[in-house]
Amino acid sequence: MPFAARPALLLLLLCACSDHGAAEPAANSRPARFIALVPQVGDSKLDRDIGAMQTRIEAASEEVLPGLFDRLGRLFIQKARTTHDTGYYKLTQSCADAIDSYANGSADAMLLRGHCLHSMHKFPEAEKLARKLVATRGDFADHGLLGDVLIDRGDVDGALDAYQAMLNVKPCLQAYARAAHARWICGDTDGARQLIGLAAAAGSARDPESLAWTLARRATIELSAGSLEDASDACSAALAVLPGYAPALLARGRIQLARGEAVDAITSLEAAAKANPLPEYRWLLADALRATGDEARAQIVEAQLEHDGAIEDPRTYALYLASRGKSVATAVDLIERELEQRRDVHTLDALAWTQCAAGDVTTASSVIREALAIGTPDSRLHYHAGVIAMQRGDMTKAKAHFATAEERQNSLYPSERDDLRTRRKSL
Amino acid sequence: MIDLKLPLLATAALAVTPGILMASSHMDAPLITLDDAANTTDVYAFVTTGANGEKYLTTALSVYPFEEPGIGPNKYNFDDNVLYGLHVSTGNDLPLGRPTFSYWFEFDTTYKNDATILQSYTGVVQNVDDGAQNLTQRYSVRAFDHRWNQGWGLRNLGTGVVPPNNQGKATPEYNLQAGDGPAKDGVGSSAMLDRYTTQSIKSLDHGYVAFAGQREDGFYGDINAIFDLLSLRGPGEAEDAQHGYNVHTIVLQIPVNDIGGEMQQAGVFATTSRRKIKVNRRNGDPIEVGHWVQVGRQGNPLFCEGFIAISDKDKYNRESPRHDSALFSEYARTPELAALLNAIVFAGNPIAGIENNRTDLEGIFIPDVIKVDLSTAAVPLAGGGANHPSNPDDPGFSRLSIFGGDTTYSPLVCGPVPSGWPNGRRFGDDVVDIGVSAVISDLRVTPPVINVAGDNVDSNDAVYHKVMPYAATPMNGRNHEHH
Repeated sequence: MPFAARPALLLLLLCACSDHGAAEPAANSRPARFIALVPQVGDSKLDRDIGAMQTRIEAASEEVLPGLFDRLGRLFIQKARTTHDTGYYKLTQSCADAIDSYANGSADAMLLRGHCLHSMHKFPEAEKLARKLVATRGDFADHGLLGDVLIDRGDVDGALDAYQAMLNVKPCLQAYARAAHARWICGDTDGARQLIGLAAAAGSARDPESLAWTLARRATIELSAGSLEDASDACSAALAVLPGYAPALLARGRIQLARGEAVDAITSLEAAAKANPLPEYRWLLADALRATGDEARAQIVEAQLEHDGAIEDPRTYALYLASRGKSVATAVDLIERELEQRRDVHTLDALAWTQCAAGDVTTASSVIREALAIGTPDSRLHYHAGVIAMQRGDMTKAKAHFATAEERQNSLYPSERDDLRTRRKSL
Repeated sequence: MIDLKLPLLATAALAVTPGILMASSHMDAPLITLDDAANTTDVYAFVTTGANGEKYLTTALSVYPFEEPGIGPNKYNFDDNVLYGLHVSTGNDLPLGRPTFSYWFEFDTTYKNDATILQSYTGVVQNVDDGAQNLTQRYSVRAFDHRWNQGWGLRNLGTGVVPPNNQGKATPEYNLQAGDGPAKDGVGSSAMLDRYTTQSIKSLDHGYVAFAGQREDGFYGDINAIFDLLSLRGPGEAEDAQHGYNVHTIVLQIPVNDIGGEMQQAGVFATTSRRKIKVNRRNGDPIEVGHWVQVGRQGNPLFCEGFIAISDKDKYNRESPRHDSALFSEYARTPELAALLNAIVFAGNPIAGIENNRTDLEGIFIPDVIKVDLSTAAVPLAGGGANHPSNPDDPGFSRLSIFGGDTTYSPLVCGPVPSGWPNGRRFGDDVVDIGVSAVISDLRVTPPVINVAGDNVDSNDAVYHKVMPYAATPMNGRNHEHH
């Protein structure tokens, strides 16, 4: 990660701020207020909005400050999402602390903290806050936060209930998009497509990140459903709304790879990985480079991935290591630590895959069965299940899983697709 | 702004701060909700008369704030998944904020040819819904009388078609110079309306008349300066924040005789709703369509924007006006806007008594419906200003309504009432100036203490029609400007 991309985090370091702990409000507003109001670098519209809000806060009377810090906190969350600089979540927490110093126990402050905790993968703490919010206030965003946390915790039924409650209170982009994801997780692809379409229709170009996020998500759902044309349209729409938006570039790269346009895919994925250098992005870029025979550049990208992967996104990094057969013990260790925080379908898949790589196919088989039980239409799950079945000697089951994976192979990475093809031939 | 250069020390510090560097899975959708298709920008209600002398309560609602003309003609349309509602309260329902009559608009979008990238137009549109208008929206209007025992219940009033958005050369009838020039000015007679607008005005059953389509945003005001800590700009410097933007507007003319006659006051508000859908489908269930849930509403201008605190705006949008008295009356009685005006604009010389116990403002805003005296004759309307050569304002019209001496005789109260807001709201009412003037005036005493102030944006950037649909011709996508 180039450090220039981390201004918020650096700002915090330069301010020598102490970490209060995300769930504990500051008793005194001064440190939190000072941190939240330090001017930001950048000249995007969002940066200007943040600057304008900071100016408003400087001049505002005390009774309106909680509301203004809430809005500043939401802008910092938006900034964290668009820049992938998690230091902005710390700034959001400072806003929450500032709110509490004026209105102790504020639900708005709790919601900001809940989102920070969730985004920083502190799921048990986030769940505790979300449940408290739902019980005491029950706003649509409170139900949304609870659903998000429960999805990650692996409580899909609980998440469905939370998203339903959210939709009942306020049908909007946020509610439709979350419900679409929940339906997709449960294997309801058509239902997910319907809801993500409603979400996109409820978006606004004045909030480009939300709309671009929804459209990029729509592209991914369409890709997994095998509808490359619709996926491509959604990508184009996302990039028209927010040019250079990394998740949309990633989705475009995946669509191009599915179409066999590896050279174009590399262009998309290089831009995506530059904007958002997470393991998921770099892994796919390395695969695309290798698919075009550019082994040297693929290795450079993989070296970068291996340098930062364990910190940036341990779960994906563990999957990568297991797929490459590298440092398998590290992969198992990473995913077991991840399991302490969350137990969603993708974490279970990663656990099964790393256990398989480590040679424990019995555990892998049991875990992948649990992951598949919910019906998530993710080809990678079936690819992994097929390999695990093969390792156990259950060729019938392996064939069935491989067939399912191949039906939805658009979502697989090139290296996974190659391996799938090789293994199917060998059966 | 601080330009932060990264010292090496920071590099070391970052390396020992794992955990906070973790990336979110980002399956969670963002927090902010801006729903333009369901975002009501303005509601209008005023008394008009038709060609044969029939009296209407003319109502309108607009959505899509800051609709950029010409960008993505397929992008700005009424949403098929939104239920647009106009509501009228009469009799005992009015002080309680309960709707007596509701009018629901639902839209359906179709393409004549979906095998083309030309989503909206495949050629020059000569007539509404002709072969060159690829994307067409149609709507149905249902009316509901909430008076179970004595009303007329549920009615289908009919259907209409939405004219094309104003793109430019593809829609020349809206514009001068065969589509190249700016949009045509508003007119004073129906015979002079552009062809698309004429073809889209629909006579419905039971004497109702409807229009739905793109229009110029009739609101004007220096909103940027107002929200920039009330740092108002002087004459010639102030800017209309909505200059050059369009909206999508629904206009419904309601026969006064169908809602109980003219010797009464009515209240008007608008809502938008989206569907609540069952998230968890059991195997084989159809993709379900759920009940409507209100996501937006508006009555008087400025109330939600200028009086309701941020923390309650969402609640306001989801609530019915019948709860306004309990939930939001304090915002009218103790307006923060008055305190801000005293602190910032009148610093050092505050106006006494305007910050508390504003029962006069409470009377206007609670419940938040636009109150209209139906007994008056048709009110004077705005055209293009007093001196416009072909479509001047009606005699007596003032953008300041009662603050500009623009009143109309009311048989109901046997005296003059404001011709515009807060007795109804017309296109052309300067609601920012009227609203600010009301806040710094005192209407609780006799005679009232009147102070007039404003934002120095005194006119709209387009000429209104003085006939149905009243809202001005939409800005040309290829020829318009912003500040």
